[in-house]
Amino acid sequence: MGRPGSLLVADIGSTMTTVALIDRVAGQHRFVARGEAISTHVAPWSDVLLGVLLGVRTIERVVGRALVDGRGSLLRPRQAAGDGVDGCVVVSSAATPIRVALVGLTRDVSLPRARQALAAAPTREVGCLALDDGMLWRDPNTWLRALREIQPEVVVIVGGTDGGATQPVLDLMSLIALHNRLLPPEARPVVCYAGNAHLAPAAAQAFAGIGELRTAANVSPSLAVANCRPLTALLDTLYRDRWLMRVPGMPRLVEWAAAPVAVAARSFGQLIRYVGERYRLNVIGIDMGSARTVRAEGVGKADSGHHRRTDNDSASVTCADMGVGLSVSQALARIPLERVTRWLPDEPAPDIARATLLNKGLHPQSVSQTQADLLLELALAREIIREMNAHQGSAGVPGGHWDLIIGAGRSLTRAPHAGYAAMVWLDALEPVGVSKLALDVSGVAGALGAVAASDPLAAVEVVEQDAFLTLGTLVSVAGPVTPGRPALRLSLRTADGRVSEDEIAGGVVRVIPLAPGQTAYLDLHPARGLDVGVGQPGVSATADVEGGRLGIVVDTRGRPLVLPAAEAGHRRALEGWLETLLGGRGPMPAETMADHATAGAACPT
Amino acid sequence: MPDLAAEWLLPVRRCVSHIEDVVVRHIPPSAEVLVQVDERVSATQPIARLAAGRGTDRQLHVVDVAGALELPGRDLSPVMLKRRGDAVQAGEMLAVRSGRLPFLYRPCRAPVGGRIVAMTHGWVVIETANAALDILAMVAGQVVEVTAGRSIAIQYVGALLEGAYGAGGLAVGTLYCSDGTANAALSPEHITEAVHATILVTPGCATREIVECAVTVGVAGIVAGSLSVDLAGAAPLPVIATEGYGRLQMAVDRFNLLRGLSGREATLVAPADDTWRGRPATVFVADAAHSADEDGIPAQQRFDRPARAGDRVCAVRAPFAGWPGQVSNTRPVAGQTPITGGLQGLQVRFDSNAPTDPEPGAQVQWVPWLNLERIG
Repeated sequence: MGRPGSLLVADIGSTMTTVALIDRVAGQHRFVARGEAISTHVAPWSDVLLGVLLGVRTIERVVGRALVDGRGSLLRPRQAAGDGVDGCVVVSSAATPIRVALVGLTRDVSLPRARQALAAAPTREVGCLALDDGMLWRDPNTWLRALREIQPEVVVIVGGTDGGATQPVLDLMSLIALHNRLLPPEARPVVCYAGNAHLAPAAAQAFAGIGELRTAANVSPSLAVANCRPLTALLDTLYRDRWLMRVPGMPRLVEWAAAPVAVAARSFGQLIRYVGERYRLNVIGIDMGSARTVRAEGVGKADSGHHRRTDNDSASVTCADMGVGLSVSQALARIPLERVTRWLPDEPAPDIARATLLNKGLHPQSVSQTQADLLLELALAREIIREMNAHQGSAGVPGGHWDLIIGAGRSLTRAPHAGYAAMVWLDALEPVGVSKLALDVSGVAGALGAVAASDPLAAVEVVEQDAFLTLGTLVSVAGPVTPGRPALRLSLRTADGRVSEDEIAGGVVRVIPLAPGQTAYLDLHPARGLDVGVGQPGVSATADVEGGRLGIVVDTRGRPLVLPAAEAGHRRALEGWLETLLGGRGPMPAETMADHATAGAACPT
Repeated sequence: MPDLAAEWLLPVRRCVSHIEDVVVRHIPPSAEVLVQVDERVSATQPIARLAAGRGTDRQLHVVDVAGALELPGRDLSPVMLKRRGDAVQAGEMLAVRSGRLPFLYRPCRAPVGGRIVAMTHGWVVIETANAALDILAMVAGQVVEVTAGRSIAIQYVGALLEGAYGAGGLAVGTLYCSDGTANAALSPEHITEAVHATILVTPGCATREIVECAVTVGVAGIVAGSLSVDLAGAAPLPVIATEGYGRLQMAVDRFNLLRGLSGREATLVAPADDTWRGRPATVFVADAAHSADEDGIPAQQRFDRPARAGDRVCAVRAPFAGWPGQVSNTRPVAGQTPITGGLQGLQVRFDSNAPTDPEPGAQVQWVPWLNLERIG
């Protein structure tokens, strides 16, 4: 069978379902049209296919051909008359995350590594129990009570290096086996063993007949080596094969795809990694969803001096059980409200701010109609990303030196002005140096990683042509700045030979117009003590930059970002920065902001 | 521009005075079914039962017999005096390790009374208490389908109101509207012994003060327009907020429905367990005058079609949060403000200038379609 000519891509989120048509146009795969609907796996519909069909029907009306038949089945392959598609890819994050209890020997070796594996999978850690937590934890009654209270769906057992500790790990197995034995079969959690590999047979024996056991490679094969990826892959597989399949209507959608549904976070991570490797860039992608936020890094510069990830390191993708929709309450449980409202030019009363955000959680599909609501949601988005960064660090790319920042998720890609998105990325990620900023306005970035699994070239072509909207280039200085004093001198030479020079004071955000498609050459001369991304304060740098919706955004507020202390100065500064970004050239093109069918870049021939 | 609004499926929070609905109660595989098809059930009637010892909330105590007796290899077989299934009393000997010399004699006694349910890895597990766990119907109606080990479907006929948020479990009581007007605010002084065991309806915000008063006088549950944020996740009795959090007034559609049902027995369902699976918190008022076999039952309301002109809707975000109205035009229209310029929406004819204003104001406003929910 040849390469599929047309692909239907369905991304079923916890709140919204996006369906996109990718087709061959002038010999290349292009994003053609998109349809959206609310996700319908919940009451009163309880069938995910309904939302998908609504999205498909919207695409049908745009492209003028049928994709499904009268019975609601996908027409596949594409027919001579033009109806149908050649392939279908489905990704989803619609299922609730797996409730996982981590169980280990000590809290300083295996358990953190197991937690790292969990962070890269669609899981929610509901408990972490260790044998060395005190004398009380030598009593099996303590374990039973704890496990019954947290009621995990999966228990992950870790501990012992390969060939290392045995008896304590066996004791752990016995405790969990006891817990399982005392539960009715349908209530027993799945047990995932990822400890001392030499004890895998003992684990099989301990859980024989009292529950399901899955085994992954040891997360700590030695004290010096972390091996998180196999456990992450195991949890991903469980989520894909069990949790997603329980979503009402999903099995029928699997028939459309003739392949397992891909886990959305994994697909997004694959895309980011691919972009980094293909274009030899250090890339960070943030997909801010309703129920979950995914952070993915792709380290593509082998010679940059940065640590290059190995396949055994799953730290390149992390998922947080926090979002700006369904998981607002989880986010507010972890992030103090003051950290959110500090980003607002007009600080609302705490109970009003909290009620507004919690109500967004009750109506996750809803959108902001007022500036105040919009700024509050984006403030929460900032803090969710900052919270993830604080826990994740940046093991692959230190210090925020990313060449490319990719943003996905409706709260940012559908913001009424590109400046809002740029402001969030600047405040949340605190990039240093020169970074390009792109947004997934097509709504398919999350699925392109899965598309690449069946048709890599199609994914490449869509990435290069249609998937992202380039907002422009960010230039950020690191170090302590003095507001008002010169922080950066820059010289911009455009392709047509025009040169402009500017001296920018510290503490500001400045927009320099540079239209989409235009390139320029930047000379950057930071003030003493400030680093413009070369790793040494005061050292000049040059960069080839690209324009975009916003142009060139220069941020001389310094890193780490410190908001002005004085109340009046603080709010005034926030207002000023935002106004600067909103005053640029960046209103989102109407067709990319539409929340129904979008005619893409081209029409199929 | 093609009329594409026909594809816009809106979220639904049903608010209907008469509906025939099937409520599926999910049951654990090992639960015993207590009802049969065609049987009529009440809301508080057990429909399935997890036998004693099968639930997840058993009272268990683990005795480390092997540790107490320092048994090599943790093998209990040579020392146990009791077997699995035996009842034991507190202080009774479970096992004894004896040797040739008197001082090697070492007993292990049960620290609690109960029944031995497991012996493994040197541990003896004593179940100290067990009770059957009943799964209640939660809605009054007629059983229409029983799938053993899976679910029981109950056909319900009556009024139904779904809330935006609910917590606290199940409440059954007489529906009591605090006042005749939709924009009245309930104050703690109104919560007297007269509302004991009722399901109290207030169109305004259920504040902490109101909830605490309600608990004091023994109110069964509360249906309010909104819930104070400081009660988020912590309401001490079953509560449903129809609009959300904060100071939102109950939409007049919803209040009028509940006011019309005042004095009737109602069930408030806001459970946290998996047996309700995916349904929103709901108020049910069963219509005892109808049965599944009578003619003239209104057709099942269907919410799986896209929005149409004339559909009753309610806005869910500022500046129109809680405002009910009707879709006046399904032609998609773009927003006109800097914030909404990129969004598509519908024209909605709101009932009035405010959610509880009884005077018809016939305001037509543009609302993003994502900010609307159908209310029946």
